Amino acid sequence: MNPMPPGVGPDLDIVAFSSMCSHMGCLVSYEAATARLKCACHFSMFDPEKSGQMIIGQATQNLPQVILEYRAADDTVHAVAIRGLIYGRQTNLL
Amino acid sequence: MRDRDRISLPPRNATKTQLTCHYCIVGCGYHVYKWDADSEGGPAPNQNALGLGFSKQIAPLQTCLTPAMTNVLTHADGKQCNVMIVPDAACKVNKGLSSTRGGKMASYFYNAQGLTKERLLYPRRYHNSQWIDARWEEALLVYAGLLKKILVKDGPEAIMFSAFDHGGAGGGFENTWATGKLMFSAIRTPTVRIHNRPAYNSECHGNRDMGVFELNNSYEDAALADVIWSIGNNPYENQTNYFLAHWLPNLQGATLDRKKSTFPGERVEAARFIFVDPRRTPSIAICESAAPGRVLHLDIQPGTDTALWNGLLTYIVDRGWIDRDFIARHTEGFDITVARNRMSLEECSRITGLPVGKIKQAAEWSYKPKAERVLPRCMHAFEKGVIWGNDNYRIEQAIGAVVLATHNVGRRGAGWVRMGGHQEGYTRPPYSEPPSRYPAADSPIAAHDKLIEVDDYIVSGHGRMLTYWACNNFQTGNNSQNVREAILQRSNIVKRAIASMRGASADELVDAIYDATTQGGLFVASINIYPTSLAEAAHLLLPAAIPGEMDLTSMNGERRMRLSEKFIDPPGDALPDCLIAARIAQTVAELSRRDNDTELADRFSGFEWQTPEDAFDDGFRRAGQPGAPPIDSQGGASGHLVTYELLRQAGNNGVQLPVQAIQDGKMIGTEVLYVDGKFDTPDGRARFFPSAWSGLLPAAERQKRKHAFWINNGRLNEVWQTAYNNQYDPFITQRFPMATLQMNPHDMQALGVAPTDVVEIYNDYGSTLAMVYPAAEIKRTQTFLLFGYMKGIAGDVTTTATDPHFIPYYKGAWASIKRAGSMPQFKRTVSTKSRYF
Repeated sequence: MNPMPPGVGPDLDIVAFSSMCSHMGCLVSYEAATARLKCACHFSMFDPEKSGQMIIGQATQNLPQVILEYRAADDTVHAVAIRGLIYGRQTNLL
Repeated sequence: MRDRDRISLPPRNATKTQLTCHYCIVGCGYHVYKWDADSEGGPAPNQNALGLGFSKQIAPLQTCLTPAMTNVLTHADGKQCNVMIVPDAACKVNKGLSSTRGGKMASYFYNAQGLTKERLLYPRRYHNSQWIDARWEEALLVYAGLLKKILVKDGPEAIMFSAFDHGGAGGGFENTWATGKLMFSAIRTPTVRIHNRPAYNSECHGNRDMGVFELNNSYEDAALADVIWSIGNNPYENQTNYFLAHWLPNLQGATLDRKKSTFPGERVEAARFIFVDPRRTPSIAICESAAPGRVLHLDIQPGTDTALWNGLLTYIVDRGWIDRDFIARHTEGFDITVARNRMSLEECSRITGLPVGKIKQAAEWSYKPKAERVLPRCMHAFEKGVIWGNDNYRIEQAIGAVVLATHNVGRRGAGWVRMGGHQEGYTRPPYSEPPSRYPAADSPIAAHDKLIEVDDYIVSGHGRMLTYWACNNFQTGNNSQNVREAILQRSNIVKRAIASMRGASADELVDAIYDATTQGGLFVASINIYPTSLAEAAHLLLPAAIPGEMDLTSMNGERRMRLSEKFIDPPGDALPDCLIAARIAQTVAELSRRDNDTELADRFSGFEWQTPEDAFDDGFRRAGQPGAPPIDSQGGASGHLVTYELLRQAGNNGVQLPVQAIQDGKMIGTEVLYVDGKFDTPDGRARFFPSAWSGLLPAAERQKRKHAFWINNGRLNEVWQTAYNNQYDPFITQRFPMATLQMNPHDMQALGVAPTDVVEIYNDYGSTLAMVYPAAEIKRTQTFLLFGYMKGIAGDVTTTATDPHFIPYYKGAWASIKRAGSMPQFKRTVSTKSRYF
């Protein structure tokens, strides 16, 4: 994947998203050949290189993005925040 | 942009009302929960009105609930409330699904700090480069005063309208009736065009003249069909939940049990779909992914539909794959049509560009009798590829010939239907025809000849006042650049007259405006919920209301009529369109009485309505009743059986028109039309009309010869109409900062354009700009441009080519393309990944 904010890591290309489609919660899957996150329920697709922007589909918000922090000291990645609301929740933290 | 990340839940005692989606033809059912702004429900199922538990993750597909479905609204008395608008799981139409469009409804209600802060709250007058808020009384004195003066001095023809004729938001039975009564009974003007076409015609004269109304089946029939044809139609993007809830399950074999019980003894299997479209669409990709081998894409050359259907007709007639008994008993004109439409498969293949084998396969799937000598149940669905196609009338009748010959109308699992754009909701007095066609035709027109091509009329300098009612032809018209320029130029003459006034009374202003119209000026009013780009030409803006701010009835693509209940006041002084029409009429009547013209005052009487229900009772419920004037209504003569109270009780499932009877306090509707073989003709027989192939309409052909690229144009799933709400929503504007032009990457390379570069698209009719979006799925020298958008207007490169009844061939645009520049911001923020699944 190309480097893109808010990607983290040595190459600024590590991103993370909620895997539950923001339409009705089916699990999205990553299609490597086209770099798209696809939902087979109602055919929504999201772009992980554009902060989960909905390419086409039935959701009303982009795929919620997990904001990451990279710790070079031990080469680990940590989730620190969420942008958007995860499907099936009133608020992100249960 | 920060997404919202918390939803306030409705408490158990929240009010709950029904609302049909504002937008597309499908009309998904929704519920509106409303509760006090300072409270909310709790996360346990027994603490909130949804009955859902939010203390743990809700499983996939159990709900459809997003922040976009919520808002804080304000009543007229200043009291605030929380609102949540969610899809109705019990609605037969959408079964709990929400599209990306309907899912935004709550967000698009009026909130002074929200997305919709630009809603018109008060009438606005143009006063020397400024827009000034006004009271209704002041605004109407000018509008009605001018209307009356023109009517008395010049007659009705000089008073022009471009008005909606549909249902849903910007439409509805109450509003079509009220505007129709004003335009046709009171003013009696023939100079009326419709929101999407330049004359007062039907998009479906073709099938109607054959005796077939274009909404003749139920959504259930898509679930029961053996084959569905999707002709000039991209259902995933344009009738989304109809496609997802009814078409797709059939394709996937999930409706076999229903088929078996509905057609006992008949061989049934999963459906096959046949798409007719020069363009590979997202719908085709989805269907192929869901059911490989059961989908056929007939990628015809642009504009060659009639040739395809004539080839098919010839092929099936020669094989006897027709219902001779049905043809003999219920139709007329078959033999002469077969003779005139005759076209060999080889000729059909040459014109359409389809291999002979593919045409044969389509015919075999669709018309080869099943083992029991029953013709396959074959639903033929069409939309704008046909309607805005290369001679709408001819294509519709070419399709209709095959449909009638195979008895695929009036049978379960079949139907010959348009898929629809807006919802429907038409009740009006008959159109007040002109004495003759304008402009005159070169040769006789057999029917529907008393029409005025209103754009042509205006550009030629005719008419004195133009009212846009719930539409925006600056973005949606054909030949829109030339029409826009003419209107702006004529509007400026009136602006200069207004600017020269000092301390004028309403009467003096009317006189000055009228005098300007004798110098070529045009007074422009727009009745809308937003200023829109029409504000550039308008002198008066009047604020309207949306469903939910008013009670409103409409019907969807299977004639399902629902009541959308009012749950919030319109903002500011905005009014339902029906009451705006009433106020205009009442003001004309008052001014007439003031001037001792009782005859004119009487002509503008009959608008004493307090509520939309009063307008509903006056129009929809009076059609066909003894003593009522002639009324053309989709409710028919049994419309009087329908009441708001019955519709309230019927909920989001409503009733399918026409109503047959009331039984046990419930309305009984009609699922399928023409089951008895009696069609809408004087003798009840459906009529075949010859529709020989005649090439491309000349204006389109001329551009095709001069310019390299076919500029196909239409909708994208996420954008509704002219983006009147969407243009204020970052979710849409960040995705589509401009109209997108999908192009084949090879063509992009040849032109030296990269994804998100801006290109100029131009031909003899106009020039527009768009943002390039790569699409390997689109053929070379073909493109697809988003229509109707506020930045990058596709209509500017569409031509004046129309069928004989002034239906534009919007799809027949050819143009040149050159790189105009780039916006680095677009490259950073706009995805150009494939929209094909």
